[in-house]
Amino acid sequence: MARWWQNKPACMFTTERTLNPDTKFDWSSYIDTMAALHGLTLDAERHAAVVRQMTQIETLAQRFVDFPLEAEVEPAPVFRP
Amino acid sequence: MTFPATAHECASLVRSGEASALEITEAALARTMAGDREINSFTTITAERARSEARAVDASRSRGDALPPLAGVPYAVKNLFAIKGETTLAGAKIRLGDTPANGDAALIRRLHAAGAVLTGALNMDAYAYGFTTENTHFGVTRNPRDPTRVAGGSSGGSAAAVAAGFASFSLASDTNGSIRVPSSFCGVFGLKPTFGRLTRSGTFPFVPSLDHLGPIARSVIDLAMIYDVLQGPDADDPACAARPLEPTLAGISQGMDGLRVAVLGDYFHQWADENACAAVAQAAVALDATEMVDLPESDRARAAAFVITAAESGAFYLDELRDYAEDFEPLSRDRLIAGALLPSTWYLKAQRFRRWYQEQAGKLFERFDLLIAPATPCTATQIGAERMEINGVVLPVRPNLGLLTQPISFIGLPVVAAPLWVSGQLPISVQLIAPPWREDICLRAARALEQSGLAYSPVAEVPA
Repeated sequence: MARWWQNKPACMFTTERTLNPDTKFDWSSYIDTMAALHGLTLDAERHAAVVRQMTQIETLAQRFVDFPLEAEVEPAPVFRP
Repeated sequence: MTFPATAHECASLVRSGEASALEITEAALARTMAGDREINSFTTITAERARSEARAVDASRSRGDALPPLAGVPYAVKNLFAIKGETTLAGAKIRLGDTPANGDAALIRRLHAAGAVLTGALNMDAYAYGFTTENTHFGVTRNPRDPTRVAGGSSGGSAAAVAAGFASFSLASDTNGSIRVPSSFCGVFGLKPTFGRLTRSGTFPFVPSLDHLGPIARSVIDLAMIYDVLQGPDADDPACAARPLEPTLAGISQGMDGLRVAVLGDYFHQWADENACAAVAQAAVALDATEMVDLPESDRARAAAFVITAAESGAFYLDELRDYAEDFEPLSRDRLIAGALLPSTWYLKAQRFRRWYQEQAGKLFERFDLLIAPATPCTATQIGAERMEINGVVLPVRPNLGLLTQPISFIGLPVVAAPLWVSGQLPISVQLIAPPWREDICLRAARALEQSGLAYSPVAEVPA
């Protein structure tokens, strides 16, 4: 019987892999545009670091962005558990 | 000597006249000044304020006044709480030039009214963004159980100061696990109440959708005493619920009769090492858990909490990132910048998913009153460690120590982290999770574990 970690959940935040290796979004250009929009100046080293962070966050975001939700599931302006 | 002592022991000593509040305060200050050179849990010691508050308690007793419940009890707060006359640092170098606070945070005002004595402000991860309290500017807070290891974070100073016996209790914040992770690593009891229960007025925000405040202490009686005086609505915090006071102290020792208990499996088992699993197994037996159940899609919940955290914190700090990026904490600066640039659709989907996940938890609470899960994947990691191995998977340490706490705070459930000792001298905590607004159940379960002898928090020996 396979042990659970042989099917490692893709949500795990690792620096070595992304959820969908076919995703090749051009984060570098996106960050150039958004940084300019927000008035952020990023040198080459910082730009590369932000691309790495964005790629890691993308890996996590892909875990839920396509999760099907009914239209009535709305965010709460002030969350009440 | 009468100190270190728990909060209820200190209050009893003062009430009986066996020790004055000033004697206890001086003992706490002396122990802190001697021992914190090694631990680095405090960033500010408010000695004169503490002496003034202690003298006021002693004067009140001399007059024959009825003493409030925490009279003469020394405590300290994470340095994101406003303290009158002190700069609120939130762990950040960029805050050093800020104007000192012109008043206390709301919870400090409530503790002052309850007679507690504030001895200082405590170290944390910068902005509360981290799980290790390896603060590049203010230094690492060392774990009093093993100074080669981290104290956990982001409230590392709050947990370490209590474990080391510098304070009887502390206040902390928890956005993704920042009370529960350091409580687990340092072997102290931590309470993260329901989202919206305790006012955050006068504290420096991190992620307003997820920020909670709560106490850390060395006994469950203390947690309940402190929590009871912290409760109450406050219009100054828009997220603070207008609920009546719901005191817990009188009911915490009634045992587990009538409570239906389950263990969270699946995700919460997969990311727990053998020590974490052993702690849960021991707690499950002691609390008569009857089933292992699944809180579905907890991996997605953790991911959604991560994205909300990145987006809100990045947006909050955008102006300062524009002007002072070089002065930001290197361990979180680039993630803050990325967070400020995230697509809004991701953030909004994460918030919608939160509602869905909340409904799944609600279904479990139709069948159970208490859920048990590990608080951390493992015991405290070494200072400077970059990688940890959990069940054969190698993970970066800093973003992953909150794997097991993030899904629970994501939906605002109340939790007590109770420390067990399954691995020699290093503690590890279980999360005792109840339905919204049922902190009383968390505290009852923690007290039951404490009375069983499984959960306890001795004072750590630190160099004098």
